Amino acid sequence: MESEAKISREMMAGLQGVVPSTLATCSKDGMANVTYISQVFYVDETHVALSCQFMNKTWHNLQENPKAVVIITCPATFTLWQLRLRYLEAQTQGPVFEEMDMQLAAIASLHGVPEGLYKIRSALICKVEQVKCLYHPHSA
Amino acid sequence: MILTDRFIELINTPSAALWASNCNQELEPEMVRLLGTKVEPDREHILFFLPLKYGEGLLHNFTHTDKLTFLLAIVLTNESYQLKGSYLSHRPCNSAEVEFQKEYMTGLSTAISEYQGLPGESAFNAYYHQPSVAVRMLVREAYEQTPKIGAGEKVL
Repeated sequence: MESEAKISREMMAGLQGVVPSTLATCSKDGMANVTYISQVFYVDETHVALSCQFMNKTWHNLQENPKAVVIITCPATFTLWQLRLRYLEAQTQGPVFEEMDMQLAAIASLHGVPEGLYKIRSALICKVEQVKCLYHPHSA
Repeated sequence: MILTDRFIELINTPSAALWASNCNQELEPEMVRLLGTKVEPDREHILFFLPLKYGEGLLHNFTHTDKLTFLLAIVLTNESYQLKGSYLSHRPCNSAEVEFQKEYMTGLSTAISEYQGLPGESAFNAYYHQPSVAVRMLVREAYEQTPKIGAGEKVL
């Protein structure tokens, strides 16, 4: 089910990082890259920020092709949403970056990751272009 | 490229989360959570299973591209790898493969429940759907994807 390209209140549960999100990007020669991502951060109802930590290939792909797709999951119900994204810019300072850095430390603790390993390099700001609910337990 | 014993062991681990990804002609990526994978005896080919409910976009993309990416991630340890290669063919799954998928998803759901403290039954209901399709892939390269220094490096 496709809906307005906005992040709803219900979807916020999928942005907590409890269930890691999956992100796919694509190089200009058409080879996909898919990876788990620690954090999809709510910026506003039409923008998210992705935490760039080790994602060298993801970063490279987004420089040459800004189209990405991420799947987020509600940890309580396993409702799945697919967000189609367009990469806009990388931020290495400012309120979004600082807040993501703090939240990432909490996510690392949640997943038992050694302190310092989950260090954000930049916040990749993306516009949400499409939202699709892939699965909802009450409409399955 | 020959898959090592370690890769085969990981692919067969009950807590292995598996994904496949490709892109359309507009370079928009598609990705699908898989319902299990079998490594063929030659260790160069794999056969993975995906639910049609989520996989129609990926299958449609095979009409214009054979480039294919496969992600393997262990729920418990975060150890993960990407395999890159070529799509060869796809067909509907048979009953034995559907049974294999149920066993795989039961193992994964149990791991999600035990290691992550999340509702495994809900995970099963979200990911497991029929009908399903078997996709055959030739693996050409493998890359480190574990979140650590060195992620992204070619390992096979």
